[in-house]
Amino acid sequence: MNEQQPLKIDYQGVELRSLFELAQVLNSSLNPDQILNSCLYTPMGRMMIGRGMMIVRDPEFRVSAVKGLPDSLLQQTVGIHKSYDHPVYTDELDEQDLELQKLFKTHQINLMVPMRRSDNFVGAICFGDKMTRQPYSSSELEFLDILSNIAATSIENALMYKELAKANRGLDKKNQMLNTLFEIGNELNSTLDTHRILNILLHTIMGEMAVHKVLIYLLQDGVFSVKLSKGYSESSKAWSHFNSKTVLDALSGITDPVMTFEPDSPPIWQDLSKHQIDLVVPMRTQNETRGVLALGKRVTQSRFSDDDINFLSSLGSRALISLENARMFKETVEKQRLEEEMAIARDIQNRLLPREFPCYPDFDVYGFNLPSLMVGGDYFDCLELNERFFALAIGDVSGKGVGASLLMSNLHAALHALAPSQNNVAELIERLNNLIYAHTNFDKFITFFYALIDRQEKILTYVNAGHNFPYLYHKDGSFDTLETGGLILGMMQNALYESVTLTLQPHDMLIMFTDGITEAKAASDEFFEEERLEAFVDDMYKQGCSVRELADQMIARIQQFSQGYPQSDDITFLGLKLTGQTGDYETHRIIKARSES
Amino acid sequence: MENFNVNCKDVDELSILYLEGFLDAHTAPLLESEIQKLVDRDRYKLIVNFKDLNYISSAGLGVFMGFVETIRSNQGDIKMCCMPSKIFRVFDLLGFPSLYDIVDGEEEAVKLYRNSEAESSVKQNSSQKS
Repeated sequence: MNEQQPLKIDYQGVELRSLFELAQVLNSSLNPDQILNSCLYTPMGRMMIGRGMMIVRDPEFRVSAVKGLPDSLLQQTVGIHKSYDHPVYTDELDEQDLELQKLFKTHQINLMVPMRRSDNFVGAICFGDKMTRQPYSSSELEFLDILSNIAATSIENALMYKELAKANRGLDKKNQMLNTLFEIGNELNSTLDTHRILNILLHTIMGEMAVHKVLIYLLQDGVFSVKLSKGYSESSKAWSHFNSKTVLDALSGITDPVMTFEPDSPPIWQDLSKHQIDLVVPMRTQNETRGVLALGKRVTQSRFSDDDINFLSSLGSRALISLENARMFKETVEKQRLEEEMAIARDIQNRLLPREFPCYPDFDVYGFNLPSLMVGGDYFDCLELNERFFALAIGDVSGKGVGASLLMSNLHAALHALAPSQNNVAELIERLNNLIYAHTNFDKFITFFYALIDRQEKILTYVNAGHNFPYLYHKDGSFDTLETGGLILGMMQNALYESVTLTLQPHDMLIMFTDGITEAKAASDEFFEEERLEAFVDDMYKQGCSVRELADQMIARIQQFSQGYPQSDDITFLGLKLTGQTGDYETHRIIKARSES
Repeated sequence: MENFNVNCKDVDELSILYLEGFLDAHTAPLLESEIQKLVDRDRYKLIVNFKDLNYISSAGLGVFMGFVETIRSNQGDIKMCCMPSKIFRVFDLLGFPSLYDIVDGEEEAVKLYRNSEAESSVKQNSSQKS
């Protein structure tokens, strides 16, 4: 007995040392595998045990480490129904745990040492027989009990650490997504180049989602098509499938993301899946699908998570906004360019209309033009042909805008070329008609009135080619309408025209205008009409006004009538008055024309 | 705007890209055009050295994704080295370590290419014998 005493103390010393060592290892590690291995190796080495198993609750009881047993047991769940407090032999397991008993017997596990941390049953360390075939002594059981309690704390810590690390990684990943969205937002804001926006979108998707194959579909100008892609050759079968009408129709109609490879998904998605498209996500703004992102397989083999899909949806909408901005910017630039060109055209046209009028001692001439669009189709002119003759012309080209103004400039050129050498007014208009006819379509024509005035004899010769009848007012308040002439210019080749010659009396006043005056509209939908014009001119004429005064008052009168209702047609006026004075008709005075303003 | 720079050096059949600065959506096109130039010259064995890279975004990773299939189908690869830990973290988060060889030093990356060449030449020899 006396010899046994130091042996026992030695033995306990060894036990304590190995427990101390184990505690040190366990406390210094957060690696679950290392902890589990140490918990098995220490007693197995200490007591010469051939097989061992760790069962850990996470949150099910699961085989977490094995020694001397097949690896196939790993991760297998096991049911432990009773809460054990102390080491228990397999034969003594509770009858609720017959399954467990069977498993242990199959693998020759004889002893289960529960791991407890305060009230928590966190798992168990299980052992087979000792190699020595000796039963476990009470001090050995005590050792294993203490060991399992030390292990319980470490394992719980390690599991919590694992859980935290997982949560942290999840947070890191979300953080990365947010960073990407933020960065991409900034980058997209700084560009208005559609191709660059799509490229940024493509690369961000490939990088963030770890995919090789991406297709970006967009709805532009009513057409839904692939705008950019990566990973597919345009000559491949897959490519023609992606651009087939069935696929385009199906994709443009989606409102929610679709995982194409789900076993219960419709054939159209299964087909896409066969061409290695795993996920399609609509790009939406204002409840409308304006594009689709189609993604291939992930190289990491993992599924697209809800976070991933939300990220793609946000990214898609963000890119749509930038694409829309880019489109609007382009439109604005285009519009500005057009407006600049229109301004140039208007300037050219303004120079074709008279900027100033001759003022003869016995004739008072004045006119104006108010175009409705930037450039218009009304024409009026005063041609000083020579010392004795001058001519007045007014016309209205069918249509409006650039087309009408081009034809108007054509008329201007032809008239200025022909008029100086042609005192036969009817022949002049016939030639003019043939020129206009040769250079226009059937739907382009010109109403035209031309009057040649002999200053010496006070004779006026005119042709009216379908233009609104000018009025010739006389001193006694009566007026004639000048209607004779022929067909509108440009309608028929070789049309014949008739001219009329009148002798002008002192105070006679000729009023020429385009239908912009009589058809000026008020908010009440009424037109200005001939009646109002006649009444107005009648009144002004009786007051003995000059042509300039009449013109100024006429503008005021029409504006008063339309009361801000937008002008829908060009308004042009030209007037002539025989002043009744006699004198030297060589004297010239210049009055600035209104049309310049 | 942060700066980004790529320097490229050919060592025998390998091309080593040295990245510097900030690789984000703004600068990614620069890297794309550099790699495109290599591919156009039929140079498919790339090593990317990240030693002086301060930042990488998804768009930067996307550039590698856009090339890696073409490069591998031409018996090449993109191997990566000298990655600062914050750069590696982004690669790791998005699951890229499973796709690329990422090693500590440039030497190691070179060695990876040399080893696989040796292996394939051994295979060739043995297939010639049989």
